[in-house]
Amino acid sequence: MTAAPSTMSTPADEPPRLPTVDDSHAASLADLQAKLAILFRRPSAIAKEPTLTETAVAIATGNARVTPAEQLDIYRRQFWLRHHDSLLEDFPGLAHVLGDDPLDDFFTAYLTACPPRSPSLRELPFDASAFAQGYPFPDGKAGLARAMIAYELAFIEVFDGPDPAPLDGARIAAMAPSAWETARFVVSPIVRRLAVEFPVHRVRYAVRAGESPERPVVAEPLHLLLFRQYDLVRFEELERDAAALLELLADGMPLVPAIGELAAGRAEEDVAVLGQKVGGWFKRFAELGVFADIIEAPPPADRPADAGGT
Amino acid sequence: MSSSTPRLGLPDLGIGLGLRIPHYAHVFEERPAVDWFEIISENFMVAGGRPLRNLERAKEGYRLVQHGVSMSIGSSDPLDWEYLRKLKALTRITQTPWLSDHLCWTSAGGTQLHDLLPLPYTEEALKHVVSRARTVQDFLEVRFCIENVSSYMSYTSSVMSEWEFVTRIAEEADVGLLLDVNNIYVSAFNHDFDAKTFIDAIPANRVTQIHLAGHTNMGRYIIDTHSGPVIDGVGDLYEHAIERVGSVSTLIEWDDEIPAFEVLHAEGEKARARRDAALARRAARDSGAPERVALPSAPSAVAP
Repeated sequence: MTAAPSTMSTPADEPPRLPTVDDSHAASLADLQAKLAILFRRPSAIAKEPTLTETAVAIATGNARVTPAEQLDIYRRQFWLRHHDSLLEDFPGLAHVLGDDPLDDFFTAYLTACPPRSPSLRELPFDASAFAQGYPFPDGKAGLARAMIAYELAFIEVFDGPDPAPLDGARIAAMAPSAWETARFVVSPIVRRLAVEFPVHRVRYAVRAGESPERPVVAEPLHLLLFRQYDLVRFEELERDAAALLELLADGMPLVPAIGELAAGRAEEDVAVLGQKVGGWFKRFAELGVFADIIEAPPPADRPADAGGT
Repeated sequence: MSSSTPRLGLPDLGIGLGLRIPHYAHVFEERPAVDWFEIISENFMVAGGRPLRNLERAKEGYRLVQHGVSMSIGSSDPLDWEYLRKLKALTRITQTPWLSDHLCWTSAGGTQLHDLLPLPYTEEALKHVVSRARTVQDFLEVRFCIENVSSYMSYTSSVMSEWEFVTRIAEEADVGLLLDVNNIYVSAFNHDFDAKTFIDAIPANRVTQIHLAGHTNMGRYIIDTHSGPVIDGVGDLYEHAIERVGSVSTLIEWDDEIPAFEVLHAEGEKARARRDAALARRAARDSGAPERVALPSAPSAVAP
């Protein structure tokens, strides 16, 4: 641990200012803890490696029953058990997809490459999706495993996400019909839209229900909506056009232009079908709590000048 | 509050239980008679959703006390102010009368080990923890209590006993002690010291809470697993502690292979009986009266 740099200048003829007492006293404690943090994260036993056994003797006393290296190995084993257990809770679907040994291998590789950085175990899996992109999963399982990881991470985000403020029904009811054409829709912080290559939601759901579902091997691209309702995380499959419309709205495009963009280039009869479906989608989105707010666009006269304008 | 005041002036809440997820439905629907519940702070330091809803339900009718596992008061890493801000926000919700965490380190160099790792009992570590404990207590604006941990290793660099280390930190930082009697039992076995020596050495008036739990004896060493009931050896040690420190809030922890709520509740009642017996002996000792000895009840029928 080093002292925070002083904001006061030190004259050249004075020796450098010593670190403050509060920080300097921890110097060798820091060394010790840094060493142990490395030893405790070793995948293999300290007691089986002669050089590490010597290090252990320098650090730990041991006793008549347990050697110093064995004492450190107790903590080393606990590191792996605790974090594997935590990840297993986060990824029940992945556990089913991979099976025991490949799952252990993945977790070990992940924890080695991405050591825990947050005090909260809830954040332990947050780098798993990025790590999985380059991880050599067993043959034929990579696509399904990566899709499952993305899905299960979204599941955690939705479960732990902040409660959205309730929609102001009176304000929305008072909106003029014309305002809906330019209003922006704010997607709830406890909603996730996912495009997945495999039906991972069905696999996880079955696993959580105590079943042992088939592992899909053929890709089946799907659009999913994950949302929290009554404190439970639920999923719903979306039609491709519904997912596309929702994406445009989430990006801040008002409803009418969004529908226009979706309809662009389509045959007249397709546009008519689209028009008929939009109402149903919106009713469903409202039921699921997809939107946290609807913001009326300010009248043109009230709009602030562009940055840099005169 | 003066350190000569029992429990540093904090209330004796009676016998509490650790509130755990498998018991939520029973607790929220049946509302069993429990003096108080201890919650793990980190389980509720989230932005929203079910954990906070459950916390609100737990608050309805029960006194809650926060206990943490991730402060890492002994780490050489800087204090995690984001963590502390969330912790403080939670204290405002729970109105916890005190807040505890372990006298340990859990992180180094920014890497979190998520374990309650023992500190070397050195002057350096002592000064480091004292400084941080004072800072934390000032920031949280609630009495901070440190808990002695179970340990499976002892350091070659230690220059004092664990009880001297714990005592000096509590005194110099002016914080409370969460005396984990099971942890004393476990560490006494693992490091070959007399558990009663530990209890007899700590400053009695700083003990604001006691923890009891089960553990797993591996033969050559004991692991603090919080599984199974409190063994008699720990119960006896608990009575010794109560005789020394007086009436102190006591908590049953059970975190692995969690049983039905009734089983946990029964553990609490066993602790209550032991506590009552120990307090009676303490009162008798203080008044100079001879100790009452409970006689076995007479059989209802005499065998021929």
